[in-house]
Amino acid sequence: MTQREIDIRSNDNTLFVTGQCDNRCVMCCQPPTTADDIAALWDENLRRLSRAPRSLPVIGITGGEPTLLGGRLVTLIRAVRERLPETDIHLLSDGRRFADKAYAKAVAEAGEGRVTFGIPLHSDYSDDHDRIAGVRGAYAETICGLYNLAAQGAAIELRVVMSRLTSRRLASMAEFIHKNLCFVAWTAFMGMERTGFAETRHESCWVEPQEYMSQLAGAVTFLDAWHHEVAIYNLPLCLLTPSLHRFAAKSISDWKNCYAPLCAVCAARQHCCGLFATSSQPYCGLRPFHSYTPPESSC
Amino acid sequence: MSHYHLLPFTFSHVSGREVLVNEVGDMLVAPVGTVASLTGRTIDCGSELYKSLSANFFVSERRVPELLDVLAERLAEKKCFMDEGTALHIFVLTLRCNQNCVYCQALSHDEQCRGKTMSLEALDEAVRLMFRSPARCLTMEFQGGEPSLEPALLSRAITLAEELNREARRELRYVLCTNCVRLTPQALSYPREIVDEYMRLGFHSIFLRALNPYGLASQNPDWTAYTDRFIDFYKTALDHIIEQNRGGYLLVEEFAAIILRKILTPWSTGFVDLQSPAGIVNSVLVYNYDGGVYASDESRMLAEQGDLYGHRPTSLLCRKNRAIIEHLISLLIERRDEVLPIFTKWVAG
Repeated sequence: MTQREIDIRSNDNTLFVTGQCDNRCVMCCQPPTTADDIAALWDENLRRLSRAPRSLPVIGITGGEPTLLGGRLVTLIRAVRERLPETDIHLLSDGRRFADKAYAKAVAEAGEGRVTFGIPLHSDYSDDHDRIAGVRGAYAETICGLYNLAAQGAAIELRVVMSRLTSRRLASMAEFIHKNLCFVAWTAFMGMERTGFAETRHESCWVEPQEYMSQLAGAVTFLDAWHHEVAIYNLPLCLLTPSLHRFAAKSISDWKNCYAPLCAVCAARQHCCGLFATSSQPYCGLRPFHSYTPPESSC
Repeated sequence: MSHYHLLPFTFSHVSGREVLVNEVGDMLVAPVGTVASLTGRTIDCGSELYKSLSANFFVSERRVPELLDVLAERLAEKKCFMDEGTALHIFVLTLRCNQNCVYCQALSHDEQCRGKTMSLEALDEAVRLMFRSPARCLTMEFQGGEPSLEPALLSRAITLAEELNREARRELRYVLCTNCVRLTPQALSYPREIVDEYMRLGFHSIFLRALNPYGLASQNPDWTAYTDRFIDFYKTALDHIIEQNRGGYLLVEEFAAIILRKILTPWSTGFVDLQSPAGIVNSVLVYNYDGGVYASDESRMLAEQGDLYGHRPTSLLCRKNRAIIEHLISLLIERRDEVLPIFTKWVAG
């Protein structure tokens, strides 16, 4: 696979650094590969980076699991800082390798305050998290990694992917975040992209937003009341309780974003994240708004 | 996972539920019998309740919890008031008073009496001792008796503090505890009216505080009856305050807010009277008119009465605080949806 050239007009410019991963998340929408692809992608990414426009607002680093690059991730972040000094970096990671304090420090320092670490938490209960991540001990490493990054003053985006496996404990997770992870910059509750394992294992993973909407409303309202920043990704406005509209972000990358035919007449379309073009089927219950007044956004 | 180890926690029964509180003050409301099922190893380890107990540091599946460092960090945050050093410094300038209130808890003396006023030497030493505290913020609280009867001492203390502070560079605050209106027992009969008056005057904060059985007030024949009456007063007033908040008027009850901050957040609180470890010395020092230094205002007043020990099982302070804390927890259980947004606003702002 050849990656697209970096394009200033896109909302998603990403350095894909490996298809390999040290987690085996049961609902992964982009299942890990096993081939050793790091060296090839390394050269490709450096070449793409060298052509990137300096006014690029944000660049992603993703995988797979970027920390599998080890020390080369530090080198890559330094290269981005050098080539794009005004650009923010959004690093997606499972956070486990940051359980190593020295590594967390090295990566955070290389980022010079420009890196936001997007790290998923699947449950407040260790066994559930481990079962979803597919690795025993993943929870303890991820939590430890979050603390080590926080100790470096790193900005953390905590990501909660809502699947059938996580949707029952959203409210408990919100309380856990308030008590134990109150240092994160914001928490994002994320709807699923129905592809990869999320599609092949849809019977055990897939959940319709309607099924967890009251849990989600409770969790988001709770965190907001305590002044923790909170956002909802990937859920179209028509599926959200109206009180949650102000938390909804236009989160879907432009190259895989689409709208359903019925969205053509929807008054909220321009404010809505829409759908994943990559999903095998859309959510249930989509309906157009006949009129729409956008709330004051909190994101 | 049926092998687990109990982590330190305490529990109590409130509103027909079992309330478990862990080492860092996190509260979990569970069905009665939860603790028995935990200790008797009959709890269903696949249940949501068990998951919550594990996620919130009540049990650990390893002898040493995997997240021990997180727990340590949480504890350090909750107890960070200990890092500050003594911040509150109470100066009992005199026991003389121009009033003789029946509710006085400070054992005041006649305005004309002699020998019950702090000497200049003791005052200067006390101010210097205060600056030996490492605390960044120092509060000088002037008490008595009626401290305004000693304007020369007041001004000397503040002048000296300001002078020493040119080098010490702390944040100084002054509190003058001076005469109140003539309170009578009838005040306890008007919880709603008192709250309404605060609102009429535009206040958004009220601190409902009980009297203490010290000094002249210790001669009150029945402190148990007073304490119970205060508890009723407090509950009625709090209920009325919650009503006002529901109606859209923000009025914070500060005592509840302190306790709720402990229950509902991972953060520390600075209120000297409700600390563990106790606020004595760690948070407060008292410089008495006679040059004596005490670890707390209460110990100073007890020493005046000749009783240095008290009796914890029958402590009225405990009775009062426990009743109020239990009342707040029961509100969180029985009227959660109604009170939680209000309580959150009080604490989170």
